[in-house]
Amino acid sequence: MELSRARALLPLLSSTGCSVDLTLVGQGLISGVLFGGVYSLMAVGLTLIFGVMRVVNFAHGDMMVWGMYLAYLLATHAGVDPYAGFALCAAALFVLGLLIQRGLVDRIVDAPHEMQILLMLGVALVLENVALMVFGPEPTRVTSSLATATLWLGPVFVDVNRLVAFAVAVALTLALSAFLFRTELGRTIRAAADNTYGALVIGTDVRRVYAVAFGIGAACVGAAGALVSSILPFQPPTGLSLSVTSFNVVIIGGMGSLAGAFVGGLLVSVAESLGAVFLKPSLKELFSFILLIVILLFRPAGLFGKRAS
Amino acid sequence: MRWALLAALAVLLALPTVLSSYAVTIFILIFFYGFLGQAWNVVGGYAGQLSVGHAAFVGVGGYTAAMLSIELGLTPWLGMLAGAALSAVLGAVIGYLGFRFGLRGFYFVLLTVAFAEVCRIAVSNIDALGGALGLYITFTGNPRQLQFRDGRAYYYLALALLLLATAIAWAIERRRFGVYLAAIREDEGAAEALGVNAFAYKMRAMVVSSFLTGLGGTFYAFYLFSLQPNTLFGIPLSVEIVIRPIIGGAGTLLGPILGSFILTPLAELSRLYLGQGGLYGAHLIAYGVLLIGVVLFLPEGAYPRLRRVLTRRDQSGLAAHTSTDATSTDADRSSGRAEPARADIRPLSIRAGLTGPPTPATTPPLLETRGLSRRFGGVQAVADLDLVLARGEMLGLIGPNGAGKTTAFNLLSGFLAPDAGEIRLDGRSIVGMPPHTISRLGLARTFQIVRPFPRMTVLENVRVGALARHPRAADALERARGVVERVGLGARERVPASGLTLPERKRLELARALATEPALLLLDEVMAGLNPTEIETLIQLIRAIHASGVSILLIEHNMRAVMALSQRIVVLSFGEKIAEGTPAHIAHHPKVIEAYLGDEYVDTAPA
Amino acid sequence: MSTLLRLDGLDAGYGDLTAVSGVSLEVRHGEAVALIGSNGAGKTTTLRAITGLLPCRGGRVEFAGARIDGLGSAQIVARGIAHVPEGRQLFPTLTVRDNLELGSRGGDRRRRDETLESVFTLFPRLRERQRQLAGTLSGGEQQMCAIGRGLMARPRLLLLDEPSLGLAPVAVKLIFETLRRVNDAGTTLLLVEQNVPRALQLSHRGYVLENGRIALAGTRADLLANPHVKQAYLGL
Repeated sequence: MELSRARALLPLLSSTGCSVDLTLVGQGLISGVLFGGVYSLMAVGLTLIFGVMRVVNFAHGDMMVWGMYLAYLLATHAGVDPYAGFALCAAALFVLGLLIQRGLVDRIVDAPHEMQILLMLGVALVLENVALMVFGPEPTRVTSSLATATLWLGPVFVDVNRLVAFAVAVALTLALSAFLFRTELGRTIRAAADNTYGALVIGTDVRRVYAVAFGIGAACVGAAGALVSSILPFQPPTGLSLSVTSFNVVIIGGMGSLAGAFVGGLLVSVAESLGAVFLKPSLKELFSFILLIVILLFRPAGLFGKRAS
Repeated sequence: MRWALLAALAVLLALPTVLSSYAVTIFILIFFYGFLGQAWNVVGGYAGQLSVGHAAFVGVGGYTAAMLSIELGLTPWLGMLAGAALSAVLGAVIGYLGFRFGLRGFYFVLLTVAFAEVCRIAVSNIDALGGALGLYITFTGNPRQLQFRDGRAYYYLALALLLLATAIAWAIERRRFGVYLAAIREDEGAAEALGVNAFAYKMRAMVVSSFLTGLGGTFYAFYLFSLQPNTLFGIPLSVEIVIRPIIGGAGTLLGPILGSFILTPLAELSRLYLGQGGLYGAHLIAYGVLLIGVVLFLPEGAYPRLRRVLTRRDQSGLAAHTSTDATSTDADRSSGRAEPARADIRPLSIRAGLTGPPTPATTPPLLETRGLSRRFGGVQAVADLDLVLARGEMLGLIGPNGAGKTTAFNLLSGFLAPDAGEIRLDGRSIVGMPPHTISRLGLARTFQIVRPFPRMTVLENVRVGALARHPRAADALERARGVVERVGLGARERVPASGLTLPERKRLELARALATEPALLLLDEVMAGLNPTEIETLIQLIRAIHASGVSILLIEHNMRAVMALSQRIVVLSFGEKIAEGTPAHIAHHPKVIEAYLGDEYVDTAPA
Repeated sequence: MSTLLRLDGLDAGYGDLTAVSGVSLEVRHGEAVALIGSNGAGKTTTLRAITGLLPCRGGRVEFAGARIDGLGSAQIVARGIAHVPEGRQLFPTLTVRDNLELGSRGGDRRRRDETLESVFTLFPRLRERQRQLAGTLSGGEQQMCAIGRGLMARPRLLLLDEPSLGLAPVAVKLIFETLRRVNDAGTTLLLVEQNVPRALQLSHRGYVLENGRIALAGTRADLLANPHVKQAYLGL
């Protein structure tokens, strides 16, 4: 959408003699960074789950889609703007995460990785297709009062809704950070991520830690979903590509590293955004997958991360 | 069992005469998805490498054949082979990248998904290949173009494909290829130590799997007459491919078939009855629930559970085991023979013409290290180690915990690369060689924490070792039997390794290494956890093995065993060699006593 | 002296493997008891069964008169048993102080600080390094941290699994001297060790575990004089 707007500005800009390409690039950069906040939030959630339980949540994107649909329901039935309602979506997803963890994930924490992947794939299938049954296959979008507002910073413009999404995402990530590093429960979670057996030995209720970690991870993605619901159209199959994007980010940023997940989110979003500037929009996904393959081969521990065992 | 399958096959061949055309369609899909599942099974089930990107091979195969037909008028019967070949190339690329770079589990899954998506997006954007809209094949009904007016022709074609894939899987299962894949799946490291080139075998499995899947792509294209990148390369198709073998039983011959017979009608019926009412994706919810259910309650899949239930009914008294049908028939057949031939289990070095204890001056030592060093982070695990082991010698390697003994073993057997130093086996440098090569050169090892292949029986475990020298599965089984007898596990031959006691597992580990007919055997704390009687027995066994010409290097904590067995002893402490000599010499060596007991005990040691 | 910990016919194992069978022992208030045996004898399995990390398949475990077999590890720790596990099992990316504080498992802030102070007094090295990441400590320091973490729970019974493993003789000496002080101050110890001389030096009584069963039991003097022990474990 912003690309066509930018293109509309070309005549104006060329008359000023400044390089059209640079403006587009700058635009792409800004849009990318702002949207990246959401990617970061998604990735932070996934990292928490992986870091604590060593479980790869293949249903991550599908949980996010549920966050989006919940925001949609809140907007249409209760008139709550997604930027205000994200907390409710987060809370709802927290509960869903807790249930999934206690009921299913708990049983396979020690199972071989292939079994975990298949289990979460099953969960993803169920989540996606229940959404399909309930909401139908048509793309949906939530309208927000902020959706059309834009700010101008010189030659580039900034979508206010993206700006707000970014701000909220960053705030939530910082809040999560504070929780992990300054509270007792947060420290216990970090300890369990560091050495689960050690945590068990000193009498930690590791099951509770797992449940909370999974719940928080789901809450992150629920909030991310709400924040994005008015920016992009979504439908149940979107979940799959969101999951893959989350993995992209986490692997690039480093499995188990929160800082890495955050930076990775920004990087991937900017890469996609710039990719859309220079390439056909449909090719930008191609770019992220190729990047993923390269990173998988040369640094599966990512740019920041410690090597996951 | 055989008769039941043949009867079923006869029924399937006759069915089209009585079925409605709609029912025929369902069977076509059952066979087709069963075929794709069986093709996947080779790498995903037998080799245990989970791939959720197999749709890429369907796509490559289908598009290749379709393009060759449309552009060059090439008959799809040949185009099928071209498409499969191209798929195999892609499979080789993915396999090479994945296996060479050590991607496992989740990372490998992601690699396969990424490749499939790259193909999908690339093809969607190439107009010459039809872009996002895809390709359409004009209907001519001409069999030479792989098109038939009668649905029943497709039925037989799909059935033929399924039988082809199953035949290939069966052939793999009963040969060394299949046994090695199973070993890799159970424990790749332990397999490597027995001479299995894990990389090569995984690659082969990948290429076979992708080739077959590619064939399926052509069928798909010429059955549906249209190809869209999102359908043909997409993750939903990959999920369809994967789910049947998983539910039915990955790594078994009939699992994918059973899975397809369960899931395909389920999918079709739910699409039929629920899909119309606007309840989209109901069958996928069923898939998801089944997948969750299988992982939680039936991780091996439906078929193994079914088989256990069925075999328990007609095999009383024998421990129910989960070995493949092929091996159980082998074992069954050979137990019927009068007298199995005595296995020639003399080690390679003797049979190769090298005779017993040589004069050390004239022959090079069997094993020699010079300046061997290895560091982990801040710790120097092995420091500048010089070690010599003469042919026919039994050398003990002792030292307090953390002294670097197991690290030394890992360096010698190729599981770790040294930072510096030389290692020569029979005069030849083995630094940098992978474990399986070193194993084939005649150096076998056991692991401190035993690593049996849990789902294989004792005999099957040892067979993996025997295959190193006897590539024919039946021969290897015979040899394995001999070795199993020799270590005293004959009565437990058919017991799965997970059911053995610790002393039995130790003997299994020994037998397995012995079956590779080594010149040099590295034993890592084989006595640990055994009571004095068991230790005595094992000492006798090790003596017998040594007497038959195998040189032995043993790590031991049990002083009695070390003193009783070793001709010479080397003592390590904090990575360094602190003493070397005969057992008597070592027992009174002050440095040794200090290392083990602390400086206070130096004076209390008996003179 | 009354019995603090009693094991009666304990059976425990992993999967299909039974690692310990029919193990009976007791530890009295204020004692230091050694459980010795070689690799794979079942020592770690026994400790894990006591602290609930492994289920008891048979027999009973009693602590301070109450049965604890079947309870979860969190509950058992709450009752006053602390476990210093094999290999230390610290939290490497957390600071020494974090590691120690986590050992106290919540509770009163002031009490925790008091206990921390006493641990620092016992191990001055830890006070120096309290802001350092636990993963950067030397082997001996890590062991001190692990023991300190156990002590932070103010336990009545401290279980130690091979505290001398992988440590230089000097470090071992220090650790055992400190353990003597801990025992003198009133904490009961159950010590699992392969370093038999050290273990017997510290303890009043001992049990020898072989292949999952108690093979010998006796006072320190008894065991030191026993010919089997001398040959198999003291290398004499």
